[in-house]
Amino acid sequence: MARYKGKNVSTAGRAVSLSVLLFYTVFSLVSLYLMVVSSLTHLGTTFDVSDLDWLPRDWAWDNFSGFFTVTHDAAWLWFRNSVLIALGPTLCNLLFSAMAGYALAKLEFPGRVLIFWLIIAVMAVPAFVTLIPLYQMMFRFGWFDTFLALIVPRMAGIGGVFLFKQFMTTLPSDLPEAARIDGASEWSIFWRIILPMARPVLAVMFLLDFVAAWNDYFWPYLVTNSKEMMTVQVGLISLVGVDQGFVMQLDYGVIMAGAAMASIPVIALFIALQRFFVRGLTIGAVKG
Amino acid sequence: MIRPLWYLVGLVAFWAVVPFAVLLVADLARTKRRTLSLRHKQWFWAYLFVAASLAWSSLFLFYPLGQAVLQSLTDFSLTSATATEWVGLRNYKDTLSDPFWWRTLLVTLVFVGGTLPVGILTSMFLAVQILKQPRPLQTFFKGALYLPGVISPVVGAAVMKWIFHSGDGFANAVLQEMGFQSRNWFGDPALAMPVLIAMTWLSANGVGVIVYTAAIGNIPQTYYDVARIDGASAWRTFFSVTWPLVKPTTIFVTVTGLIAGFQVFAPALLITGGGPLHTTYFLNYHIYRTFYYQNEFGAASAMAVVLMGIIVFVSVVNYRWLATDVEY
Repeated sequence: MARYKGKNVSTAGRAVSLSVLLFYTVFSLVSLYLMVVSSLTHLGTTFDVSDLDWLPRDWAWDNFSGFFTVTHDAAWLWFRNSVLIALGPTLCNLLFSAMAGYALAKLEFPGRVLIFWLIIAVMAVPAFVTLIPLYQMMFRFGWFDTFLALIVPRMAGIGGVFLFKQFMTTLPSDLPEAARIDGASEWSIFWRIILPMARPVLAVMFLLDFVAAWNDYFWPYLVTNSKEMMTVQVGLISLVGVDQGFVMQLDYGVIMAGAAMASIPVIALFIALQRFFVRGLTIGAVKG
Repeated sequence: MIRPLWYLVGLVAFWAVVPFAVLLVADLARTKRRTLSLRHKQWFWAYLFVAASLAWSSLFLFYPLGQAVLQSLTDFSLTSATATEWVGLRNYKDTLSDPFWWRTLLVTLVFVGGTLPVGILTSMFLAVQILKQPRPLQTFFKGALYLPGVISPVVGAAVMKWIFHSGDGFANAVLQEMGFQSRNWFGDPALAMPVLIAMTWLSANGVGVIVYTAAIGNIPQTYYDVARIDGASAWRTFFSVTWPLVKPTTIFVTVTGLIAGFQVFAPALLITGGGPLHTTYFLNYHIYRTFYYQNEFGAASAMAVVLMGIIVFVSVVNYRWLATDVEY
């Protein structure tokens, strides 16, 4: 099995592997396709798949406005909340994590190795261990069902530091050294030299963190109660039902329109910046 | 509401000042000097830079972690009328002697065992196929296979409920088209888990594919040239060259897969509710029901700590087992 730069692979071999790939891709995207077609079809509440065609039969764009109607316009607030939560704390976390990553990668100080091992160890802590005390904490703080519970815990942390540290270690040290000798402060070295060089990893982290925040459903589901505080994901949960098999009284075309709208931001970001995703996933996972 | 924000400010100040001050005093005492050097200046900046990260994780990670461990030693519960008491290891004993807990562990193991090995082999296979394609197609397939991974679990669950609806859902329509009887997918104890596993095969391999494509693409061409000159077959080349050289990646994918797999939760919460007949009642779902519905915080914390123990254990074992000295 040669390394596949093209010339070592026979045309037949390439055709076989291409069809295998296409076959698998079709299967893994079929549910997304179904979502798009359903969102543009008047389905009603009967769940009859014969209402569906390969292309949307009646191009029911009113499903999309219908989503706001069935939620009594609360959906506008859900989208506003989701944008707010996925954007604000993410940018804040980006800055703090980049700062910490820089310190761990380029500054000499006692405790540096300890902090780095702490970051590694924390990865094995399942979310549920801390979730229970955090849930209680939100009540004690009086943050339950407020933006504070959704925003503040996400503003910084050590989960994002790892990627920055890994990337910044690979940056050459002579530029910051030269700046240091010229009398630049550590802050201006970080801000003017390191951050511009770290642009690709900033993009990666922003994307990963944004998608994670946008898609997060469990924490917002735990700490919100009123319709106005819900995010898109929690709103969808409230429509589709939780902890049970199936409850549905709504037009499923409308639900799928809502699901499609909840997916548009992440899909658009992903398609626009795919190469950063790929890069982010391979930092730290692949040698070389 | 506002006071906790001051805790955070205080914590940031603490982490920015205290470790630095302690280290500085210790160092000055050790070296018997009275002047600050450039080295000390760096220490100051370093702790300033990590202060926010450490402050946030102190309040929202380490403190809750400690609290979870302490709480698991109490009978704290919102439903019981009696005062909270220390009960020692009773919660752990109860957990480990509860047949239902073992059952949820088994359910979780079935899911992990059903998804992870197949997922790793599929990702590796697809990565090899992708590398046979020209560049633009490589980018396309990597993107297309990763795309389901950026869709939220909630949206995924909503679509799954529609595909596998017991009436005239998509899957049943396909079955009928092929002349089979329709099924009650998520209502059938024999089918619910296999359906969840199969859907995971199709949608959750994006990370693996991308990571393996990069890893296999990084292997120097000369190794394959040598293998060919020696007349090694395709299988032999794969097992003697590719497999050992991507082992670090396999460790990464296995360990992250195990950590995620043992925490599987979304399908139970969003699709099956743990049913039918508890066949999809995952460990994490059991914990969630215990604290969210029964409000047994002590018992739920104990179960979560046990889960953490399991995850740490399998990660370490895996790391040991798969560890390799093969370098290139």
